[in-house]
Amino acid sequence: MWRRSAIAVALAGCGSLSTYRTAEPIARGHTRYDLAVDVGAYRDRAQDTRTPGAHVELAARHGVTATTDVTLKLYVPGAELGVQHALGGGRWRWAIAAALGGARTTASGGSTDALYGHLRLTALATRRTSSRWAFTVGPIVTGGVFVPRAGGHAEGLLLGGFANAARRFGGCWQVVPELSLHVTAAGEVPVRGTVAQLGVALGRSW
Amino acid sequence: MRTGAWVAFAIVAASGCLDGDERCRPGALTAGADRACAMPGWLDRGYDVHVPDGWDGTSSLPVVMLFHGGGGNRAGADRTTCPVGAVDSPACLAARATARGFVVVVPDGTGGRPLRGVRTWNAGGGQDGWDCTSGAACRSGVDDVAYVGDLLTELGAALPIDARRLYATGISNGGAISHRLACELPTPLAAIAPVAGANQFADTGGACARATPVLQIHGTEDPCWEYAGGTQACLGEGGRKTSVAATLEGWRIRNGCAPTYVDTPVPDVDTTDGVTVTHRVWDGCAAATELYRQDGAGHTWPSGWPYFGEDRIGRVGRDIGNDQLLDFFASHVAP
Repeated sequence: MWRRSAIAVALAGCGSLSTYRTAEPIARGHTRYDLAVDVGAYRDRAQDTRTPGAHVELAARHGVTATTDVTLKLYVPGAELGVQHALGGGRWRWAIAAALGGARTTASGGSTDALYGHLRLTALATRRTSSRWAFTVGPIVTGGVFVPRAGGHAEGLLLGGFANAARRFGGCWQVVPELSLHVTAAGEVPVRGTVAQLGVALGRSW
Repeated sequence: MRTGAWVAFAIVAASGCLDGDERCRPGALTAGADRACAMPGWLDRGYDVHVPDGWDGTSSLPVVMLFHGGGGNRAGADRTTCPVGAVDSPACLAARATARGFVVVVPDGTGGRPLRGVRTWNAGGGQDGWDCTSGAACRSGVDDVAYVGDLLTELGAALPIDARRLYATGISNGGAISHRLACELPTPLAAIAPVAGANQFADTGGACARATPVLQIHGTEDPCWEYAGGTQACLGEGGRKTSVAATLEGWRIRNGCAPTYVDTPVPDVDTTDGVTVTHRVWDGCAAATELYRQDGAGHTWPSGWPYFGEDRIGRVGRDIGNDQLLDFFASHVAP
């Protein structure tokens, strides 16, 4: 049941809510590729359901200026485009990020014939403690829309936050475990309740 | 990176190309039509409709509503009724029914969140230890009686339907909602034929006073909705479900039957299925009350598709099938 649900959640149009980021920008002209996996739990209060979930995603983050980078993220069955802008800082470094994504699902298994869209806004605060370790926290606001083919539409607004630890190794590699928690502030997309995700991203820069 | 960005843009843009199902308005449904129709006012609760090939375009049509089981959806509902799951088989319920002049309507239950393709019906229960049948729809109190009422209104605007020949069937949670509709739908159903699902609504205290012809089809080895009632649930969490005996005793009383009945063995057409069938007909009824007891059968549609392994849902009986169900419908018209 768990495995079936996990696969179904990945196919149900729910993108990962994780960031796997620090506030540090990608150097101009450089690209970092991340492969990330997460497991999570979706709790819907109104329907009294608890659904496990899992995602796999592939992201490419490219520095376009000294302070701004763009990201393309692919997951099954959707994609996301994002931008992050570093705000500078001292001991703590700050950044803001936005991402717009969409997914198209068909009626099979756990999904329905529908379009999902989301807009995610993130603020990031990073404290680098060494050349290898950096710790990042921040709030996340996610708006989602669900437009089924069979009529009607639903929306949702999630308020949440994340914390991750990024560790560099081998010169150009980085691993980022992350925990994020989200609560529905309004609506019902993806649930009317809470979402928790625990994941890890493995990245390499060129 | 520029190429990748364009690929992403294309994917997201293509995602926006979602042609919504249209409402099936008057004139949209012609003889032989197989359509997916949107249901206004209900989020993601569309329905499929199959119109008889031989319809003359003006005669009022009897309607068979086929309700999927809990966790299923309309895409799989008719397949459940097909031998070995072959949806192009003329033996499937939709094909058999349309061949006999019925319109077949296959609606969608309420989707879960976030698994919106995992759908359920609110067929009652949920109090005093009784199973809330079923899932998210029941726990969140969805008014599926209102939904079906709206669906019939919507369908009736698109087709001339015969309000005295409305029928309901379905498996498991779909059978249970058939019972509830017989109790509560403002327009009385002419007959119901629930499969592997009993009357959780009325048997747990729901108001049900109306007489309705009932043909219950149930396997004695059903591991998901036990023949004798109980807490087994092969596909999800279990609460206490009512028994076939309690359900049919309720209908016997409502339908004005004597306590006596006649059991007739059904010819063992398929001697290899491990199932034998007895047809029970109560005496002296104002509204027919009947049971096909499938000894040895599981949580399956008669002569239908074994949608999971036999170790999980039990055997498929092959001595009766959709014809018996449709014969029952064809012989009943609401007062």
